[in-house]
Amino acid sequence: MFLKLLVSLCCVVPSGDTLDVATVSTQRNTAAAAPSPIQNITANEIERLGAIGLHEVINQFSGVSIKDYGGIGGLKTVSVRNMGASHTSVIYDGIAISDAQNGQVDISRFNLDDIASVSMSIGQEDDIFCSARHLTSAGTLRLESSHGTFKNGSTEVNSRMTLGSFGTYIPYITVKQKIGSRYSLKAAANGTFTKGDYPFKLRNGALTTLEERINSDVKTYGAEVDFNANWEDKGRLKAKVNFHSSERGLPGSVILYTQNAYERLWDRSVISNLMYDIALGEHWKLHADAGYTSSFNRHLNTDPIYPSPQDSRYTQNEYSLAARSLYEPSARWQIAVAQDLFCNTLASNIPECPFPVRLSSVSALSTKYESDRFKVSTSLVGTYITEELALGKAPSYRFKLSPMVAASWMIHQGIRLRASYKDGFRVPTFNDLYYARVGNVNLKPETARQANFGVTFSRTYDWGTADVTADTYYNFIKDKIVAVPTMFIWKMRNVDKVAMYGADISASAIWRACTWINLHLTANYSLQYALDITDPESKNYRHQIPYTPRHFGNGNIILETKWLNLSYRISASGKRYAKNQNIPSNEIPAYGDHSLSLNREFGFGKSHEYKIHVSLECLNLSDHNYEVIHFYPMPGRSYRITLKFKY
Amino acid sequence: MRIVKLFLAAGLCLVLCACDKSSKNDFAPISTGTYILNNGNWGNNDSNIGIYNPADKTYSADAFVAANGQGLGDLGQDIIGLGEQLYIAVNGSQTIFITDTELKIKKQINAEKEGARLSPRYLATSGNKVYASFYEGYVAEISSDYSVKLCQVGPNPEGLAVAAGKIYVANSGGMAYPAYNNTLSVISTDSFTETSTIEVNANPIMVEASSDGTYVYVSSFGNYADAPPKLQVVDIQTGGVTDLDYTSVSAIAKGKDDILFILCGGYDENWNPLPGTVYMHDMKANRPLGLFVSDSTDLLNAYSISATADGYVYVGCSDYKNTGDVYVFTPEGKLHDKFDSHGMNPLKAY
Repeated sequence: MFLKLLVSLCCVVPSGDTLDVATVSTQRNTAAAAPSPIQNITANEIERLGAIGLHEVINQFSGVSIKDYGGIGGLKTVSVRNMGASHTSVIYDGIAISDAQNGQVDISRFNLDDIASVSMSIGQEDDIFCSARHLTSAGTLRLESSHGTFKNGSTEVNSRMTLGSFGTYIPYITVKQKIGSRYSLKAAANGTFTKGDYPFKLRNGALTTLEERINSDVKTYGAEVDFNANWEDKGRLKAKVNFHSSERGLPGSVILYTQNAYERLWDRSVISNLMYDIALGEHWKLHADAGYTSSFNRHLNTDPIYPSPQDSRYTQNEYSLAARSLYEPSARWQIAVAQDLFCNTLASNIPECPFPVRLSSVSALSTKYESDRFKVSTSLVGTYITEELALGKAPSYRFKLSPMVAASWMIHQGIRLRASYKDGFRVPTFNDLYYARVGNVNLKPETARQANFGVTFSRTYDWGTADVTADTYYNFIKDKIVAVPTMFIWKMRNVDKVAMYGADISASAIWRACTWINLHLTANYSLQYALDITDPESKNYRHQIPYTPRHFGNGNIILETKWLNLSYRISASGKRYAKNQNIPSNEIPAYGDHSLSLNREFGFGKSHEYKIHVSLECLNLSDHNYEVIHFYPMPGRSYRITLKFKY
Repeated sequence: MRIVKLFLAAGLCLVLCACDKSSKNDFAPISTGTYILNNGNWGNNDSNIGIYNPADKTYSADAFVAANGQGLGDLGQDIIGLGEQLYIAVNGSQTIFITDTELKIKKQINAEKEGARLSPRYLATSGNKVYASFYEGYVAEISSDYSVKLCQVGPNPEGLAVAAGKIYVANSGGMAYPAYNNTLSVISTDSFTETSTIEVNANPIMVEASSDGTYVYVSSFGNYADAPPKLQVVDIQTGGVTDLDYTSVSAIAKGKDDILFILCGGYDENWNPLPGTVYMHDMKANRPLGLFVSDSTDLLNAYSISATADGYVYVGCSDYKNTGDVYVFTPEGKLHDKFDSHGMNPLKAY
């Protein structure tokens, strides 16, 4: 059936005669000049790579790692230089996605379909005209959805259907409508459905058995409506409502000699936001936004060890108000102030839930100076947090001042040095503070200090472009929040100290062989020492912390031609340790994950305004059930076919 | 069916291993001694058993894997001997291994109730029978032909002890937080049915009975709020339950000559664990015998206590991050040896 479709499509003229690289080069320049490491990928590049999930894209970044519990339904969180997912901010169309209960965002909920760009900055972001609340994070992941170009009239349609192994269907549709010259409306709907019952090889000593992952089915529905108004000098207004709902089985870790399917998880969330931006003359810019986010999740555990099934329900709300202003005294100098206020609440049906209400106020003052050769930016962020409880004594208020500074200097045409320092932290989550028996209200924030020094090289040649960045860093994590056992119960405590140092090296090139062939090459390598320096008496003193490879690398090769794009991507990790002690029995073996994609776009109509994009992918080519998290095997070789229709 | 397949595969692998002289697992030759059971970490399938020889102070780690070419599984909870056989309860893996004294698997019991696998906790023996508690609320009687009979008890039973024709089982209700259970079930060994219950402190965990069956000792964790951890004694004649004067009792073990070894711990106001202290108590006379450790040994992160038939006492220490340490004491309470258990959370020495 699909073959027939493919054959018939091949008779159609391919769309576009020359290949577009203009957008890539502007981003390259910004990234190379940024005083802190930043990486960016656009919709076209994502399409050429053949990536569908956000984690597949981030797996191609440098200095960033994904904790992946395997399969479509497995939790996926992003960590910058292995500092932990709760030190990463996730921002979607300018809206901070947060989880005050767990402190980490599962990125598997984001769909790449309507994403115009994904960027990941380590340390400080380059743009100082941004919200204050995420400035204290170690890294920021930004997703920007596409606004629509309306090149072919006032309506745009982007739809897609992906079929994959293990009973996977991922449909998507978005319709954008321009209303008059000032307004536009977008409506999108997506779903992800999978049985997720992939086979895997289980090694147990000298024994290898073929097993099947059970209870990893997923059903996800998402919808989004965007409204944009552009009144030119009277400002711009953006409104967004995003709805997400999912139900999934939680397969848990693979246990030798038994297999159970007792746990299920339901999630439902609504994100809504209203933003207003205006430029007042040439020197002033103002921004204000208001948001409301509500998320509900239900965890059901029917394990017969419970006298009655455990049906836990949690509802979190966030109400936020933010404003910021940018003043540009000259073309080279910017001053920004930002103020964020937000309130988080948690309600649950579990025993002793104190129904916490947290009020946070984050203020930031930033300034940036930029010349052709030199760039420096600095910020001072003040965070004030206070909490109220319906039950028990709330912790006293917390206040923290966090300074940060970053600079870059062009020492030669195309070569820049950069250095940055940042004082960051993460606030204890509601679970850290209040979870029944385990929570500890005396917790302090976990601090993360980051220092980075690097060199970037970026040049454009007749034949194409070349970019190289090399960064070395030292991070120090103090008061790390960990669960510490006592003789009777576990308790959350600020005990661990981690010293991290390493290097991230990245190289990429585009070779324009002729007008109809481009070759894109990207390679990243990271070396990291992340040492537990908590207790000199402990057996794991100066041992590499769990799940932190000393060597990690990834890369991709894309052959882009007029007729067909071929991409190969790899991510590879050295051995890691599942536990604190670096001994052979805790080792998780090294792995390499290879994927191949073949894709092509076909144009129809007078000016090729109707486009069909066909993509065939083979994931995890070597069919190795490697583990990112111990006893959560990844799916072996799998296939995907994607058909997109765009107008 | 799956287990049969597993067994076939295991057999095949053993044959293969036997031919492969350059096997990666280079373990010291096994001589039977004291079995050290490492509980491991939940969900990590890293429970293991090593064999320690107190005479020459040698330790063969990972002896179960060496004997079988396969791992013990997730959360080994208890090990006990009956004749020339060892019974090993593996809680997370929901299985009981029966091995010879060199830990070679002879049989595997996967108890089920209404199609759901049961999770074994503690073991006890009497005559030619082995009794096992299951966290789903059952006690099993395993006969010498490996047939299994189940008796329903209270929620989340933990430790059990057999004396004078009665089985005493601690119903912890540990998964019913905050409504812990506070009873012992009494089961008659003849009829293998529950005959009565005895009310004790909240969240009872370990049970030991004096050999004559006059006193039953119960340690309990309490409810982490108003009911503190306790050690209580039940006078079987009168049915009276008395609190004993030991604080922060974390584990108990019955040793030679009816001596109960009591491990006390606790933590300071910043949740730092305090060093463990070991007391002795005469089980038959219900009389305290004072401190056990007679030298200056500090038991940091004390986690478990076991007393073996040769009179030695083993204290397992764990910081839950690293492999544990086992402190071996002579019957006189002098430190005999200390070794790394090569596994997380050394839970029992047998």
